[in-house]
Amino acid sequence: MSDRLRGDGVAGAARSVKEARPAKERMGKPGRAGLGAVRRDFAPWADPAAAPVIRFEGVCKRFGDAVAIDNLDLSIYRGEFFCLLGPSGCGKSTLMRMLAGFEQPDAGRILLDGVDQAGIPPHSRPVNMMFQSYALFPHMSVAQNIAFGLRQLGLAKADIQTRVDEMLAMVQLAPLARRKPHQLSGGQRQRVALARALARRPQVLLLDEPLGALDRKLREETQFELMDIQEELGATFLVVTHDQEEAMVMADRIAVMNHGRIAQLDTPGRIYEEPANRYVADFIGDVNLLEGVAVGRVDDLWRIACPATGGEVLVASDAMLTAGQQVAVAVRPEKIRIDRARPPDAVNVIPGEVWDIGYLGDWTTYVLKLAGGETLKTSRANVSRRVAEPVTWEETVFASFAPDAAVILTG
Amino acid sequence: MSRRGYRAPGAQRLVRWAPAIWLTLFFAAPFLLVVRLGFSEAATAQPPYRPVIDWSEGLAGVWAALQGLRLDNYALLLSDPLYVASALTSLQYASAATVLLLLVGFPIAHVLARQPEGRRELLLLLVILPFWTSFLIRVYAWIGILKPEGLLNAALLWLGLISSPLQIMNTGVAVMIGLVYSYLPFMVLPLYATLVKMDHSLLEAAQDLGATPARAFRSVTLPLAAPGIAAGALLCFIPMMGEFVIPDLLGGSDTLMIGRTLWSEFFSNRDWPMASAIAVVLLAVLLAPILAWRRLEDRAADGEAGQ
Ligand SMILES: Nc1ncnc2c1ncn2[C@@H]1O[C@H](COP(=O)(O)OP(=O)(O)O)[C@@H](O)[C@H]1O
Ligand SMILES: [Mg+2]
Repeated sequence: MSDRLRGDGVAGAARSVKEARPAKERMGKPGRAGLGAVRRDFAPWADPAAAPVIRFEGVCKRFGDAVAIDNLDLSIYRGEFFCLLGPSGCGKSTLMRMLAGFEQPDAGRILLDGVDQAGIPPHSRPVNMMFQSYALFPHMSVAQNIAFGLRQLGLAKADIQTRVDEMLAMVQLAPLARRKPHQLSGGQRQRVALARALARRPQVLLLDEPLGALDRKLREETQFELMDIQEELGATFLVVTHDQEEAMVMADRIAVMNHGRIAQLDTPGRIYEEPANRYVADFIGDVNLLEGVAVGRVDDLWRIACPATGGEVLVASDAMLTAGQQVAVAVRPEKIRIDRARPPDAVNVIPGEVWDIGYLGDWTTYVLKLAGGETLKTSRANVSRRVAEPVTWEETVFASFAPDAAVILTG
Repeated sequence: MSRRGYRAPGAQRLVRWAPAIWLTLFFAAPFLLVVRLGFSEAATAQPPYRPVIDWSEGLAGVWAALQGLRLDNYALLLSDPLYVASALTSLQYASAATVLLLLVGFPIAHVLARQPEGRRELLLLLVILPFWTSFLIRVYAWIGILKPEGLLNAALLWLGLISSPLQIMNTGVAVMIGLVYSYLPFMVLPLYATLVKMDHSLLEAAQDLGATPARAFRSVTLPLAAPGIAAGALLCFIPMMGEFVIPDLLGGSDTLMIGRTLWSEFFSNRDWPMASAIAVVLLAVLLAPILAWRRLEDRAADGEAGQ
């Protein structure tokens, strides 16, 4: 399973289903291919000829005065593992429920396989949904729950039984087939809900916070199981989550949502390493946002005057800026190194006093207090068990980062 | 629990025994008297039955009285078609009214359970509101509505739907209207209680899995509402079986229900033993559905225990 996380894309291509799939595109724009770790070699969105399986076109939805979805466009492709990520209340569930047919858009169109879904009731749509609360039928056994959707298809009894057994085997619940939902643990219920939603072999599976009710350890295991199942079935998964790590691990692409709009739509690597705006940079992971003003360009570097650092920083960027423009320089804590002595060859050096130290085991984070009073967060991987002379509180250190470790944000 | 042994304080022990004391005093003891009366025979005396225990004779008197008990009343109960017929009439009305109550009460409870929380309480209050007025007065009010020159006929005549007043008063229709009207809250409340607990996403899940709204209702809502349906049906059916006021005020000669028969045995014929025999048989017969209900409730409780 760990091969999926390797950044080489070759392991992904060697997997069974992927091999059968034609037209593999390199991810993203040329020259940007190295951003982040690439989970698998799969990028139909980069192919102009590919037809999306799900399309939102100018979709709006309001509840009373509150705007839940604000003129949203989105295309999701066949076989994609797509995550909708955003804080609670940003409209993720609403978007998904419109796709399933439980809410009607006030404006715009929703197309599934090119077919406008307006007026099609939930029971006739070619999608299935795994509910946030699982919504298992309490009066039915595990097997009956899984068979429910198949019975609606009018399949023969024997065929239903075969498919139910298949599903039970897939989620490893065969011994519990006769149990009622209340006799299951949270993790087992989650699997029943997944099996029930997958039993009808939907083209598109919608999962609303599928791992939200599980504890951390189980959640991490289940993430990989979900990815395996998705790849094995070749179905399109649309997952709603508010957990950024979950989205980063599982998704081919992530749509970061904010107040009913998409703040950024991209691969996990690009979302993290090249956030489109302050909101995304701040929402995903830890970030230092240094507000400043563009000064001028030196070769491929932008000079940004940052009051917080007491000077200028140089950032490698091809952003189109005008001198005097208000921007933010975003630097992730792990991309800042700290030294006791001023590093002689570093470009961006910011002196500061160690204000706080957080030891996380694998990482240690240091919060530096800068001359102007602002703080700067840095982190360091604890690659050895012992540290000879650890950095301590109130010590003066020099933080530095390379020009290409930072990103300029205008939005 | 402690080694010294735990003794509940007096008041607490009283509370623990209160239900038992209450039931003994106000149910078991009177019921035993009724049972005894049922095996007696009517007499023009004071009290109007025989045998009477002669307490001055002590145990011998009790023994003599017990030997005087007989099964005549029960034999008559089965052989005289009057009793069987009025029991069957009761069964007929109570069953039909229960079905009607379900048909009327379910949609009401369903709509109630779907309201936003604030409005739900208000509407629920409206369902219970009739209890603020005496039951008797409300049934009398129906006479004013249903009689030939009453409100209903006046309205129908004015609308031109009928040319002469309908005879509704003193018919089975009036009794049914009275039963359904009076017992509706007892049907709506238990149904509402189960429906309001139901997770709406279950219905969405059913539809998502390809069930039409009608099928979703049949395979999810109905089974989950079963305990409420059973509770409401019994809560209405049992008292309606013994209902006396409604058939007496609204019904006619052909709506002689067992409660009315019992009343006339007691008050008109002064046949206390016969009335008691009817009461005992009625209770025995109605015990069956109550026990069935208890079984069902226990099973439901088992089912919920693990959740
Ligand atoms: N049925 C509804 N009635 C009124 N407001 C709703 C309803 N469903 C969602 N909303 C509102 O729409 C917004 C988006 O909700 P939702 O899609 O559930 O967010 P998320 O799933 O991202 O947490 C929220 O402000 C929520 O209060
Ligand atoms: Mg949600």
